[in-house]
Amino acid sequence: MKIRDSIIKFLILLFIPFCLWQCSETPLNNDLTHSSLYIDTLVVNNITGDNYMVAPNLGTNERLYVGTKNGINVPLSFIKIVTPIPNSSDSTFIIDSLRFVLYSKDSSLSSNSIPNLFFSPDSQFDENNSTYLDYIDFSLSDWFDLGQPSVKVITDTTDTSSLFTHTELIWDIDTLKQSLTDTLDSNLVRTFSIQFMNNDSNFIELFSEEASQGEKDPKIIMYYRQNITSTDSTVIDTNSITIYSNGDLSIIDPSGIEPYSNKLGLSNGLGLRSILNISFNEGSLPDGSIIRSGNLILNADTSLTPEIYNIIIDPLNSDSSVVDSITVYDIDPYDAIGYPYRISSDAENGVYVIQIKNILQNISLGNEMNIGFKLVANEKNDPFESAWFDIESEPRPRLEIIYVAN
Amino acid sequence: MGIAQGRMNALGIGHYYHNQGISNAIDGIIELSPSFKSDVSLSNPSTWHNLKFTFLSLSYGGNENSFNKTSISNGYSSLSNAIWVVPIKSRSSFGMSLAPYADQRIASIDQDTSIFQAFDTTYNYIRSFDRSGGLLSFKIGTSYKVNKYIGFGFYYGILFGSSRSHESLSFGGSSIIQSGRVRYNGILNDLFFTLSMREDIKVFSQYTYTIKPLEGAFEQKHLFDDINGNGYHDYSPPYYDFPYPDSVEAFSEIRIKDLHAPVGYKLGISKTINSVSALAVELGNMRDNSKDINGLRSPINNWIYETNSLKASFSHYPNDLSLKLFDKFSFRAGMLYYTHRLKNDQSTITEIGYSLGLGFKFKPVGNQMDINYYIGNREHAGMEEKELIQQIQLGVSLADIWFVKRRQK
Repeated sequence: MKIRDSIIKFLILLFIPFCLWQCSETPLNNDLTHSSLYIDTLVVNNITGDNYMVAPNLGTNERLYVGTKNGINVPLSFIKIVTPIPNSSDSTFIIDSLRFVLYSKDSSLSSNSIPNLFFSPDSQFDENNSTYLDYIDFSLSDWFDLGQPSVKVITDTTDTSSLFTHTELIWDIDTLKQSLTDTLDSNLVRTFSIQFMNNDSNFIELFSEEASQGEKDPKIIMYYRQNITSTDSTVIDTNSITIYSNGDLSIIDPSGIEPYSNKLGLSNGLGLRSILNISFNEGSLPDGSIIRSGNLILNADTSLTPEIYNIIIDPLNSDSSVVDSITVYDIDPYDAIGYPYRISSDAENGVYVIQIKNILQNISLGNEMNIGFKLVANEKNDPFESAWFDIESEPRPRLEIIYVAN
Repeated sequence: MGIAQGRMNALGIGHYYHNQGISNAIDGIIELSPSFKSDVSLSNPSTWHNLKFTFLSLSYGGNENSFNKTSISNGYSSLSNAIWVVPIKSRSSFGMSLAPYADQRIASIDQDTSIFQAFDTTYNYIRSFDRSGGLLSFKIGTSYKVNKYIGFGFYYGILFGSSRSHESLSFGGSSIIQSGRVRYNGILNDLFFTLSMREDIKVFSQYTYTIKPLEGAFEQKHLFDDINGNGYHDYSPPYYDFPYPDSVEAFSEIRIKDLHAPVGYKLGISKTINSVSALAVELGNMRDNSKDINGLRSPINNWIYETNSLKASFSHYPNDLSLKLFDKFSFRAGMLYYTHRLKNDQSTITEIGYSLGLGFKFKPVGNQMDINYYIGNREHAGMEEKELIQQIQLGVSLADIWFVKRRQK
């Protein structure tokens, strides 16, 4: 009992100085030059590369094109309509007119630069996979020709400035009323196509369904009347319904263009992509090193590359050594890892500095294999422009690494 | 508790607690010679059998190390000693003690900023080294009284503990950190001998030797870039340390066999002035025969391989027979002088310190409360500024009859 009381008293006694003593922490200055941590650099100049071509697919592009630009030909574009005209079986529902509308940001479209609209009641393309290779002998001769549109230039009416906002290309498609209301086939897909009637160097750029939240999508507008009858009166309501497109695709045919053989090239329109082989492996850095920065430096040929052009690098996931630079592949033969190693980069004064330290570190750790890197153009780039890099002459690509080791 | 302490924490396996002021509140500055009773020192097992009752003593200490010119001050408090001694028929004894042995807590930063040039860019970088943890000593002791002149004592001491270190190199907005962990174990023994040369003069000695040199199991983590700045290799959204923690593995554990292998002696002599006062002098030499300590990274690339000590004290004991309040007090005053020789550059650290202590005995069995104050000046070779050490120790000692079946009333 006495011992217990004494211990309690002692603990109370201990608690007092424990609370009163002010613990503090001030770092001491020492000479730490004996530390084994050190910073060093590694430059990898042994970088080679090859071009390869994949038939271009611009299904996710925010524009639809028809015509020829920078030597790249777009013979036609497709627009898909899946949704049928609603209420067509309702006797009180009277369709007054049907209009197919496309939008352009060009304020001065001439009759030569306006395409014809064609219609097919069948599905004709796959937005994500169709390429020009699927349409080598393709013809619109058996499609229904809806002719040229009326052009309506829209200006801003919210104030007195009357600034140009966009141009509407409006086709009268009243003749398709029956085709568009036929709902016997629940999976029916109607396809529209636009194409120039003459094969000169005309070119038009239109908004695709990816460009906006609906306001500038390709669409059908149905104007209708509806008789609403009550016990003692009949009300005629006039209104419109918009049917938006469900997919669109420009078919780009780059087959007439030969890429530079002594440069690495990237182009969405040409379907041009590159493979980089960087001489870096698990033993390139001292064991246990950590990479502070790993910059791949690519100097663009500024005479051929636009000032603003975004490129993407992605390490390969599988070895595809049989791939050559002559064949145009239907799908990309190189499988890349993607997240978290996929990096995009813009140029500054024609120089791309791409931070790839994450994949380099994991190669160094033995977590990943260095099979190569795929270079592609960002899908947001103008498909008629391309980026070119010298691979056989100075300034060559190089990899600059700053690392810490012990 | 506090992280950084004195510069000596940055040496080798840390700062040995027996070199920091007073070991425990009840013994004061002197260890072998009696100081709280006329014939007992709790630090000297060869005197334990002179206790009349089982004794449990706990000491709690607060420390402050400061450099006044540079306004650097660090402090911490902790349990400094716990000891339990059971005398057996005034002939022998058995005891156990638990005490901190080495303190590795230190936060140090490079005194100079370094420059590194890479790819047309100049980087300024600075190194830092943080270490935490330390060693504890658990001892089991015994004593045997051969006759009224001669007594022997023995301590079997187990060293154990762990420490973590973070060595970093900061540049470009974040720090590259090398973390490591060491687990320690070792066995040190002490032999004690007491000889009563005359009624008023006693000689004490201690011989320390190593049975199993301190071994460290060193596990080194992979370097990481502390992007979120919290000092740990972790995910702390929105910032993720690089590389991801699950993409790296720690290196294989390395065993460093011989980190600390002390051997040394202490000699003490005590002269009784009267029945309640005594003068004592002690001198000691301790040498560390470690062979592999350079395999352990420390903030200062050096370690103490030899320590010489000289201590002197005056002790006034409580009068066990008196009923006066004043006679229940004990008083201790002393001074010490240390010379520590460092291995790698043969430099020295010297320390002069003074202590004052007061104890109050209560209850017939000899319970005691103690308070001790120590102040010392430590001079490091190559440093103009001296390190000021202050320490306060508080102690409570409880005496009672244990292991005796009491008669029924």
